[in-house]
Amino acid sequence: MTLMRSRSARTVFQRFTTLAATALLVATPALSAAQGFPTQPPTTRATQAPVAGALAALGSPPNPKVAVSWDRFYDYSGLVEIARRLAAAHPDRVKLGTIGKSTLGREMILLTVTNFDKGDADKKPAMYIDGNIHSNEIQGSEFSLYTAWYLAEMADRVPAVDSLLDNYTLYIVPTINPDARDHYFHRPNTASSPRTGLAPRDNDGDGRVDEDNLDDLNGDGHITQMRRRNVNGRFRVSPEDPRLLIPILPGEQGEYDLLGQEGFDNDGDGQVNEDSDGGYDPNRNWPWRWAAQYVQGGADRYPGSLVETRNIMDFVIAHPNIAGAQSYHNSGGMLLRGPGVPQDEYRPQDVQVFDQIGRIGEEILPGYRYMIVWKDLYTVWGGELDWFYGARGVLTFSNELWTSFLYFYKAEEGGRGGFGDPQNRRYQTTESRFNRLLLMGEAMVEWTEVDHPQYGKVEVGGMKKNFGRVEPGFMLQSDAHRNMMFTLFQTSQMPLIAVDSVTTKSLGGGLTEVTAVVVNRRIAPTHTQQDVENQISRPNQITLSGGRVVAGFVIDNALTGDATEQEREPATIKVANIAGQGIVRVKWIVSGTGPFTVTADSEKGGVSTMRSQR
Amino acid sequence: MPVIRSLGCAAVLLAALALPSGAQARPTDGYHTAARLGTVLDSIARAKPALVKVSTLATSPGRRPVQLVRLGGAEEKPALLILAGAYGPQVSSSEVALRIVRDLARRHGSDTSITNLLAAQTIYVIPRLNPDASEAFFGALRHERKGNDTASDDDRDHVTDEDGPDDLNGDGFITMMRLRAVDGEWIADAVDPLLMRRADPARGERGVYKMLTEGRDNDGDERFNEDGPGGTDLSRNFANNFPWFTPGSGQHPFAEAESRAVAEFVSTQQNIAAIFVLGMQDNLIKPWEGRRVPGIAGNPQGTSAGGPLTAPLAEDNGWFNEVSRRFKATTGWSDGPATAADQGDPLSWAYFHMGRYAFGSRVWWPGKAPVDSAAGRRAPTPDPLADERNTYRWMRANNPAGLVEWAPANGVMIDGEQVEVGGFAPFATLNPDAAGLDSAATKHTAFVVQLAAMLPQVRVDRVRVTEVGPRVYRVSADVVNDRYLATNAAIGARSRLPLRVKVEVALGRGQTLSGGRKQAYINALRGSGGRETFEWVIVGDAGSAVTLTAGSPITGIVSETITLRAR
Repeated sequence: MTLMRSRSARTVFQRFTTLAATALLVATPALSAAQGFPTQPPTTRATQAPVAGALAALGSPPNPKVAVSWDRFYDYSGLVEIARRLAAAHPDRVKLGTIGKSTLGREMILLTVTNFDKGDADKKPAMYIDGNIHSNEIQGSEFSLYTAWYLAEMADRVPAVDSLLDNYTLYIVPTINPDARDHYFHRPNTASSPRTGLAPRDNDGDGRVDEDNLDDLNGDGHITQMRRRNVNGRFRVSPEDPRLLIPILPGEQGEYDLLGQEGFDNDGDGQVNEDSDGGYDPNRNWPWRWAAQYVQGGADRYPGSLVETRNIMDFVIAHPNIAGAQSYHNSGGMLLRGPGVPQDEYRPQDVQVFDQIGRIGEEILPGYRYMIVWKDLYTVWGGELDWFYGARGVLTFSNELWTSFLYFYKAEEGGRGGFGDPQNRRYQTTESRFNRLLLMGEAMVEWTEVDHPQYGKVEVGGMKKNFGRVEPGFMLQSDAHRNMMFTLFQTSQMPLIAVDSVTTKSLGGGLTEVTAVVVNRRIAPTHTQQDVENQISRPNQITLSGGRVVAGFVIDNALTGDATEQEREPATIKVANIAGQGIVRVKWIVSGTGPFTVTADSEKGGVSTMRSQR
Repeated sequence: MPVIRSLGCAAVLLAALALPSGAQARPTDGYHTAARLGTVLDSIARAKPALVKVSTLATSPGRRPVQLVRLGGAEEKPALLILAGAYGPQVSSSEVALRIVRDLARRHGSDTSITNLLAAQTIYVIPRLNPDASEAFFGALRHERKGNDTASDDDRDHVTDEDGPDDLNGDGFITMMRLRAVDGEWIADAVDPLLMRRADPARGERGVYKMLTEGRDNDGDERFNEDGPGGTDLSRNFANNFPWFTPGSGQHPFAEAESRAVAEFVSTQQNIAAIFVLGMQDNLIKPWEGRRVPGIAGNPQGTSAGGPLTAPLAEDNGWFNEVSRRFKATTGWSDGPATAADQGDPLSWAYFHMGRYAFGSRVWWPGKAPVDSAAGRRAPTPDPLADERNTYRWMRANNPAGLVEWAPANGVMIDGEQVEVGGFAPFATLNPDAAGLDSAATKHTAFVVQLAAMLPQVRVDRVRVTEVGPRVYRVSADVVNDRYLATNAAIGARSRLPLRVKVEVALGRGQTLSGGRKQAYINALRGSGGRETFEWVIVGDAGSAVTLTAGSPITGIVSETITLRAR
């Protein structure tokens, strides 16, 4: 007979010490948000003294211990370096650990952020955050680090931050796809590649893996488009912007063929770029509502086949204090909740909580919409958020960061067509106008002629990989902050229970009736309905000590006095759930006169104790 | 304690020898503990090192190896995988798998058909997927344990393994117990009073007994034996139709090292053409009936909009029917117990997720007992206890030790009532005696040899070269599958697993391919002579040659050199 116990945070920290001791002092190349390649060091300017005479702007730490430039992106070693500096500068607010190694052996670093001087981090109600599940969706990593940085730097300065860190823990895994993050940074890619992780896969069923990648024909670090002059082509130069191609209308004369993304037929099978590195979708690999590859593209070989998926599942199962979660993706400005498939129905009690949080999110993040994955976006089998809610009962959002609304603070018509999407001439115009009017045209690679091994002379050009799905530098910190505030709003509404009162009444003959009121003042319940129905987390326990308990009851109706006895182990009353903004009353008949101590202990709602007045 | 240790060894050695006549047969005769299984497999491999290789596929939470046996030498040839022992109490499946290995290895070299088979094909055998659970078969206290050694909280009270069964009558078995109770729902059957059934109030019947597995309420939660030792039942931990939040199924599919090792092995081992599961699921006595089931919102199943398939594809029915017919002809069996539900089981996973031809046998079950038509012994019609009654009567005639008649457990009282213990002895309904094992193994070995010969294989046929003009040749050839099974079942064609047959032409120096594809794929080439014709136009010198290759890891790869000249 063994009591279940969660893996202690300390073990995790110890596991990380090897990593911390070895490789973290390397120079950390960064990808400038606006300029793209080549990457430029350094990541931080910690050694420079602040310029005197500044007036702090609200919402930002006036003189941070760890100075970080939030107008750029950081590769894996850059993320680790910032994380390490945060943990070193704020040892009582930030601890650095790991949840395990990636496919290629990188540590999946974990920042635990809380007030370590108050309570046990692994017993406080917690919020889990990760970023970068899709390797090209990079800014989630900076945004999650920004969250750790803001909280650490603002602690002892803003009372609301202190109260948050006193009561809650945030587990932050800045990148859950570290291998392919570095591929995105340091290898030629589009805005939408790699997306996968880097476990080698045979995408085209020829028995070979990763044998026909994208190819950077002009050597600029970006995979753009190929075009070829052709009077019978289906595209012509845009009259608005000579760098753009637009599809011809009936009666118009064509000028160009579009030949797809930069690359050639590396393996001589007659297809171009058909088996690039990796070849799966890490957000289709989760066991809840997983479906095989022929139903759900990207599912990979079996649920949990990816070590990154398993590391996160093991961590979440070992940390039952996680009540809420957010997973940062891009793009489109969506605050998504499940279900991912129409077969699942989120329980109405839980939908109410999602709705309240999601609507505040829409207010915090202008241009973002609160949506349901399968209903408002598309069907997803085996998505991360569905495992979090379905298998663990955790209230989880996926945040699709960056929206075209932010180009000109205007809602766009139509979909999210990229460059060269013949269906969306208008959207191209918005992007190209933004590029011209706000970025001095820097987002576009000019067309240049190159020799293609199979097509002969072609022109290569188009939008850079760091345009269209991520914020430009001057908007990064703003979006990071707004998104963080949405995350922190959810955090602040995770369950938090308190023993509100303990009253006693003598029943004569040495017996006392002790009544305790336990409240949850936040929006989220201690147990989602999904959790209650499937008994995922243990029930809340309200325990009386200080006397011999004769009988224990849950009070069903405080006005009529209706009560239900708990015959077994009456000193510890078990309560399946304390609803959001809910109250539970319990009472005991005790042999003794007190004083009595009542402790309420909730896996996801924290621990609270109160002593009765004698 | 050296004395006890050596006694233990002696007992093991004795068990391996043939029993002298008149000796008391024990239910474990002919069966191998995890340790013995390992020793026997190693000795088979040592005897034929070029043919048999034994490796460790995974290590169980109880630190026991899950072995993978490879028959057929080092080369990766088109393969059949035999998977057994996922359901711990069915130790017979594991013993039959062991005997298949032993028999094939023994006959290799002397029996030409076996020698040829293993020259052309690989047979992988995973004989015991759940060694932790199966070990309970050999314990001093025999109890049908399903879970491996992962600690589990079956009743979700956040304490693990705290209320297991207890041997109340001290007979070394965990069976059932009953006690008289005013709120009991059970009564004894009038004809065969060992059998219990629920009282039917509609017929004026009143329950007399409560029925529970044998044991105490160790943790005082007023539930009996609801969280015993043992964690995950590996026959419920596979991903197809996984039963979430069900005791024994595990935290999530493939949460266990043993089951995940199978997933990893099958999904990376590209030469596995078919999977034969010895387990609790059957589709060989009663073949699967594939049919079209409407998916979500009327969309077709097997698509993102329609959701996963819940029934096999109807296009595969003919093949499942025929293989079933052959299995029955080979074994002489015509009837068997119903298949267990396909929830988290390896058989349906092999078909639906791995896209393989997948066949399942229940291995062994009590046969038909003679009908007893004596007065007062006639079963009612319809008989709500037909299966149990047959098993009971078969046991009585063939294996009386498999029955424990209801009798008071001395002095054990629950709720003030005397507890009675009885029912089928553990393991008796799933595991035959040593002779029964050997007989089942012979039948299954014969079927494995047959099945291996059904696996697809391709050859190149009808090569034609036509001179279209000077230095211009039209070349055509057929790719043919003479075996019984298609290169991909309908499910395989859908899932693109296993790999398709690739047909590739390699040009010689100075040749140009003007028509036809350098590389082409056949989605599924049916068996029994199914063929597909390919054609190329090649410009090259007369007398020069091109090389044609065709095949996949599951069919083997053949190649043919074709000389350009008018034929």
